[in-house]
Amino acid sequence: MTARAVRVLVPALALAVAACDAPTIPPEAGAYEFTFQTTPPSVVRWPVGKVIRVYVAGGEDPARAALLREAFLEAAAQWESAVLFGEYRFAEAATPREADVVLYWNGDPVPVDTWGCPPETTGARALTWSCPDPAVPGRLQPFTLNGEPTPVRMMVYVARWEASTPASLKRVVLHELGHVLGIGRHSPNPEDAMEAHAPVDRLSPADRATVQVLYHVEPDIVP
Amino acid sequence: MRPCVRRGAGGRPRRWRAAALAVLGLAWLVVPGAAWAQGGGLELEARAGVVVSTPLVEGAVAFPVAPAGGGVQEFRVRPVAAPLVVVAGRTGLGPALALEVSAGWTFGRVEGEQRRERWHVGDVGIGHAVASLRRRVGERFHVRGGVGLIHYGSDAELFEGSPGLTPLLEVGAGAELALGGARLSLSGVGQAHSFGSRALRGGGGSGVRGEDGTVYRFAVQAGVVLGGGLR
Repeated sequence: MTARAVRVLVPALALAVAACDAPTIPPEAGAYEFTFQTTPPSVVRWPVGKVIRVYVAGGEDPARAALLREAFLEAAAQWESAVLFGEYRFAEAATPREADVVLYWNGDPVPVDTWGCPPETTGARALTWSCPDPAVPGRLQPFTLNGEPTPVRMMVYVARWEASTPASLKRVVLHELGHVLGIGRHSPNPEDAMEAHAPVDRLSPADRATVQVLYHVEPDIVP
Repeated sequence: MRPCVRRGAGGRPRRWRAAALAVLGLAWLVVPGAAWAQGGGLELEARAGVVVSTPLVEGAVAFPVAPAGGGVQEFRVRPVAAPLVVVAGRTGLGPALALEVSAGWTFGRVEGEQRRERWHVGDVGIGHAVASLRRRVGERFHVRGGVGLIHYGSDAELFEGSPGLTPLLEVGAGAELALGGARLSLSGVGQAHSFGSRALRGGGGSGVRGEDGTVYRFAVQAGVVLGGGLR
């Protein structure tokens, strides 16, 4: 009986080991170009698994502050649900000193110093910006607060007039969080949230596919 | 580029502490049950061990427009080695043959890995139940094989829309030895089951369909046997 059991068991185990076939997912389709337009193009994204802490500076008006916070939370939830494997998560930071990203109303006092890395324009509907770190290649420059470096590597402003149309505000913040994640260009398709003036408030399959690809491509720059 | 090794707060220590508490809970249940089992001709066994698994997902992402260093990147999502507790009951069917019913719980954690990056995907509780035939081989050894069900419970997106219960095959072999007045066991177990979820099949909204596959789990367990003394 012993020999027989061994004769049955050993080939069965060997077969099981040899037949390992993990569930697979094929390469993504439908993604649009997301590299930053540097020479050569560069992939900028957070390390996989990163909890991206965002300080939402809503200003002194409680109603306006609540609008910005709600827009952030909804946009963060959409982007988090776009990936399957916890490639990134968003969290709210209590202060700029605990944040990776600052989101604020354009025209309000800026919560960190931006003199070393000013926005390209202050007249846009919204803008996400950052600067390469001259001291550490492959990293983004930390913004400072009272001369001290902070963890903040990206700034996002939204024009104050967006507060009068909450639905538009949510679309804008959804779009800007796409840039925060590392989508460095605009989609050519107006059905995508990452099109420059997209009238959509939900991520499209192409938006989701793009961020899925982005977080499985080796980055050139890590914030 | 710095490698990212990120471990979620309370990962390993919390899972192993929970497993230790579960072992104590099992002992609290099993030891009084042994007397009852003795009268009913049953054996009870409480086991604890470590389980490893083949990946839940293997994927490859092709970059649409080749950047510097781009191309195709492969990634894997797999449960890391995790504590497992099992309680089993046995009754004799004939000379050297017994029917065993067991149920177990794995305090799991799923991680992703690609090139230099490794990250926490989510915590997962894996429950399984198996009915198996167990044959004694010689005085100390045994082999067993059976079928059952397995369930993965997690809040992670990966598991969204996963079937509640999936059929499971299990084979195992082990030995028993007497130490003082106690009967201790040591066993190895292999399990196989299919794995897939709605989220995987849908590609997370990209429209690309993933394919279900087979996952294999391997465990080593040590246990204590109470009651019965099946021959």
